[in-house]
Amino acid sequence: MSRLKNNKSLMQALSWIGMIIIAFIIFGIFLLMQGANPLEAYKNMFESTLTNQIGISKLILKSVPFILLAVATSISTRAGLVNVGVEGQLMIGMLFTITAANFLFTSLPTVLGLILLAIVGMLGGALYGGVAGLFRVKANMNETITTVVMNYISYFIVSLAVYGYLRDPEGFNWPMSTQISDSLTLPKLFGTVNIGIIIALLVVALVWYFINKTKTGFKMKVVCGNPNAAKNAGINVNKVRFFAMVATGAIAGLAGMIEICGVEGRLRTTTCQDYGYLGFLAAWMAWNNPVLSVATAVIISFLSVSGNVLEFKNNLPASSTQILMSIVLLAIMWRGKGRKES
Amino acid sequence: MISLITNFLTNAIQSGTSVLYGIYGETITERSGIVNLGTEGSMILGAIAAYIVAADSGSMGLAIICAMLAGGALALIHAYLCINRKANQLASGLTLMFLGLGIAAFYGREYVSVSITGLNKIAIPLLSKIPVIGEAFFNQDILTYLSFVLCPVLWWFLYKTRKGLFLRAAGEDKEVVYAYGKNPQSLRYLATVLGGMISAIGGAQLSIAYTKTWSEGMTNGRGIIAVSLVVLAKYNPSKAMIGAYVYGGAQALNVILQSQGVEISPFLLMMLPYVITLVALFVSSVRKGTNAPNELKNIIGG
Amino acid sequence: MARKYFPFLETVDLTIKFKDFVANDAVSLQFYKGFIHSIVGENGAGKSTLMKMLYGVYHPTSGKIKVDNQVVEMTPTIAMEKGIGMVFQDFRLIPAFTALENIMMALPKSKLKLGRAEICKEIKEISEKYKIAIDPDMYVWEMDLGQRQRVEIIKVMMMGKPELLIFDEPTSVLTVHEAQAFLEMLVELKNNNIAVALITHKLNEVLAVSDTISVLRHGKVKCTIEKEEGFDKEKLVGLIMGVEEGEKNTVKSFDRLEIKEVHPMLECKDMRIKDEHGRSILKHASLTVNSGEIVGVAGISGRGQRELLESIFGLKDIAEGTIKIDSVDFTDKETIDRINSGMSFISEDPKRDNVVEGMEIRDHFVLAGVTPDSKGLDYDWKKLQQNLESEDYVKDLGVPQLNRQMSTLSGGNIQRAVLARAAIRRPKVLLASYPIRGLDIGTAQTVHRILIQLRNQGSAILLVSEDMDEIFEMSDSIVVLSNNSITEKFDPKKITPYEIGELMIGGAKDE
Repeated sequence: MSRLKNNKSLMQALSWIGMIIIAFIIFGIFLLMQGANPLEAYKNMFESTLTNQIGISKLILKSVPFILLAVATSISTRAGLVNVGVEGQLMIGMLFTITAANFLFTSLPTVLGLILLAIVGMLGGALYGGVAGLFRVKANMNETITTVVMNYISYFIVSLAVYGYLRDPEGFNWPMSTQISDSLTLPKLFGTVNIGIIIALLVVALVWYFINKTKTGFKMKVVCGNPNAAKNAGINVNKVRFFAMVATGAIAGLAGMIEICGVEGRLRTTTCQDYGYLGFLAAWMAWNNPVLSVATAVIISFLSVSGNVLEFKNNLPASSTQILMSIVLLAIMWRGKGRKES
Repeated sequence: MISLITNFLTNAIQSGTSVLYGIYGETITERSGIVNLGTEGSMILGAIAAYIVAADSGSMGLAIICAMLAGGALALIHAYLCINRKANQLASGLTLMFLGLGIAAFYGREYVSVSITGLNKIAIPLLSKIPVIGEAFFNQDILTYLSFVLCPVLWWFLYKTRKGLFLRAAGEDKEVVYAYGKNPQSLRYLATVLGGMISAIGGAQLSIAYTKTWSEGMTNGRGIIAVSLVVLAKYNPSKAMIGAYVYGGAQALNVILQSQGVEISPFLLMMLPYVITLVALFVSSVRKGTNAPNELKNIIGG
Repeated sequence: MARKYFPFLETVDLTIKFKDFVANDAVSLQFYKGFIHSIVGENGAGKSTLMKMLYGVYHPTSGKIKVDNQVVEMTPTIAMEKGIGMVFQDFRLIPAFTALENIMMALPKSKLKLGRAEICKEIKEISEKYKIAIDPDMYVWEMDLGQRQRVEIIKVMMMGKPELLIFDEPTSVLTVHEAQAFLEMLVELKNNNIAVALITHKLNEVLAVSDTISVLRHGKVKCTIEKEEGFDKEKLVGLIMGVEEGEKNTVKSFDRLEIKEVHPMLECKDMRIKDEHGRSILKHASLTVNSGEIVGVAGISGRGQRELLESIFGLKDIAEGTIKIDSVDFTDKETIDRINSGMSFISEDPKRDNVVEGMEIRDHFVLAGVTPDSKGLDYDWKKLQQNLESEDYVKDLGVPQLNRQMSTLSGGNIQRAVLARAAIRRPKVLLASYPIRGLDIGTAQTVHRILIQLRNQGSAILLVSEDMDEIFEMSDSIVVLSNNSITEKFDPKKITPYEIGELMIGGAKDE
């Protein structure tokens, strides 16, 4: 029995890898059509990213937000929601973090300051996710649509702040915030890599445990499988969904805090734009499995880091990686997750 | 003051028309039981396809046809994934939205600074001379007029033809359609591809009629907004204009206020159409007795 | 009534196999114009399969179908051309459409060119000829089930010139009075020289209108009886159930224990309940169910049965009134509180309301309030499974292996599991909505036996059913949903089904 199960997971894993390879082949054909040599392009991508420490550092650094955003998204999916709100929640998380860092906690010691900032960032994301959650449970507004619209709104909120109260007086009128103080940057592990990756992996473990091994996780599974059955079982469906939206937002907000305190140091109008959408892609590419989404997040990070190489060496714009990622996800959707009956 | 109102109306219609096409397209699609968030992707592909063809060939007719083909092709992928592969409709639509935005950005990068003549305004004799509204409604480009005509045409198609009857039936209960020897899946294919093509005209209107420029991601969520406004229009093409012009009005307000030099942050104004969309969605969601197609209820809410 | 002519439709040794399972075995039957031929049999006897072959939905493995004495390879299109129409049990109607729109979808190619007015005219003609009145512009969702059925019948008749009409369980959703009207219509069809094939469970109806009765059991025709030979109900029951004469009366003897200490377990007072459109579907509704009592709820379907049970179970808020369980006020409490207080709910549609995709049967017990021990932040699943496996009800009802996926089970097995999980809690209050709908007679009897057992152990049971036989057989007292309220309790020994029917209709006119 268990051996059969193992075989099945193995088959699933193999077909999943197969889908990713197929997507790379499709994209290769696309590159050929553009007059680029796909083999050379892929070679450049690998060499620039995986054969030197700078490349690997970049890869890890960029994986962190994608891991967190993917895991955040998967919580909502596991409660039966298609939530793309991590984009906006990340923005608001960054906004809250930078605001607190520059106006409230400027002189706090590192550890206390970072903990408080993490809480503030999570609060920001949770609030923004909570609004979409309220729309869903109080007015039955479809969360996919509201979160996309709210993502657009979040850009304008960030712009409003960056052009307004956040703007760096010494920034030569550039639309960007003041740099956070050095004491509030995340400690480094090695090179440019900070402890964000450890936090991200911890969150993955927690979310996995939560989804699979707790009563609330069980309830979420019921809500996802059949909301009607959940109601009949006395499960408060709205509460579970609202909770999922808030939890997703909180983790997205944490990702925002890590980006501000670990990588960016200041907020611009374009900081981390589209990260949320990429995180969403990562989650769905991983069938919303938190552990597998680490792998997909790394793949996306790889593509987006090496995408720059494509741009320099093969004269292909950044949008080509977006195309590639969409194709990967389409291939995985095409495959589906195997037949449900066992 | 009068000219200000005319100006406002003209702007509202110009910027609302692209969304109107999106609502038309998505209404057809959703009536058959498929939600396509890839409408955004179809629109942006329509915008870039039309722009490229317009710039390279100068033929506006060809530009519109190519836009429809591009938008329809993207919708075809959605139809295939949702119908044959049973993919999650919302996720598939989103992915196609990303794909559309990516492809458009990719092919559009060389056209950012290319200028085109675009579609000219055609003043309709007499009608365009009506005070206040004449200029706004009857001195527009051909795609705007087409959007006026499509309203009754699509309504007639959905409610008065046999094909339309079965298409709506596919959105209510596909088993019933099977029972009459029709294939609901092929009706859904038809509705999804047709929806993508119509939405793409909206994208074309945006790039070759309204702005006459190309910029990356220029649809700015109009496709998604169209999807939300379908609910406000009660899934009926005859009510699509309300939502579209409310959105257009919010955009127009932005343009007018800025041109009048009103002291207000441009970002607040830019936010306005999106906030209004949320409000519209809120109002139509709490309203009693939405007539959402039955097969959709499981996908969108509940 | 000698039949001078050859039959309109005849089956000769019709056999169909699904893999190894023989659903119909050498079935030979004749259907004559102007005669009503009823096919009776248990669930799973192969009635519906047979009818689907006649209509061309299934193709026989061997044997043939003759129409007007000519062999025909049946398909739905040919069936339509030959004038064979089928009225399905679950009406193939779209509620969001009008009657006319529904009918228009069904029209054959030859009638596609017809305009609205012409179609309406034809509808009117058929309505008058067979006395089936409908309003073409009324939305189906506004209609009651009787009206929907009439739309369905007219629709089928407009698909071609009707020669043979097949009815699949036509009266199962109708009230006593509607069923009466339906039977009169069947006679009308017969008088107009149409052949009628009637599939039903309800022997009384069969006996009332049939010219011929065939009993199907395990896919075979056990016997075909003509009216002239005389119908014998007892004998028919024996044939359907496969029991020999002499042992046939084991069927209905339930041992009802006298309950000594009776106290009100469920008390609903002066409730006002709104339906999904916000209208008050029940007003001033009061109801008491005592321990050890089965209260049967009769009523035309859609008169608030679902709303009543959902309100009692806390799935729906009541606008006014109070609900007490075991003398404690639960009006403002949640569903989970009611489950924890010992209430169980068998829903009318477990697949819709209970089955969770991707979860095991075991998990579904937890959903109904069978609470396993905690183990850390999780449940102790191993211990739960062991406990459940040793439960008598689980064994008695033959619930499949507990680690199977619930969603892969058949309707009957799902019902078994749902019943077992309610029964093992020995619920204080059990709400049972159509507990035997869709079950074969054998399983239905097991369900009834268990309900009586629970009653004897002191459960208060509220039984909603549209089957008058079930209501009378099971209930200690009967209430009727009518006039947007609930009547007082009646003693089933002192009131007749017909009187209950009158009460149900009394409410039907109040709109």
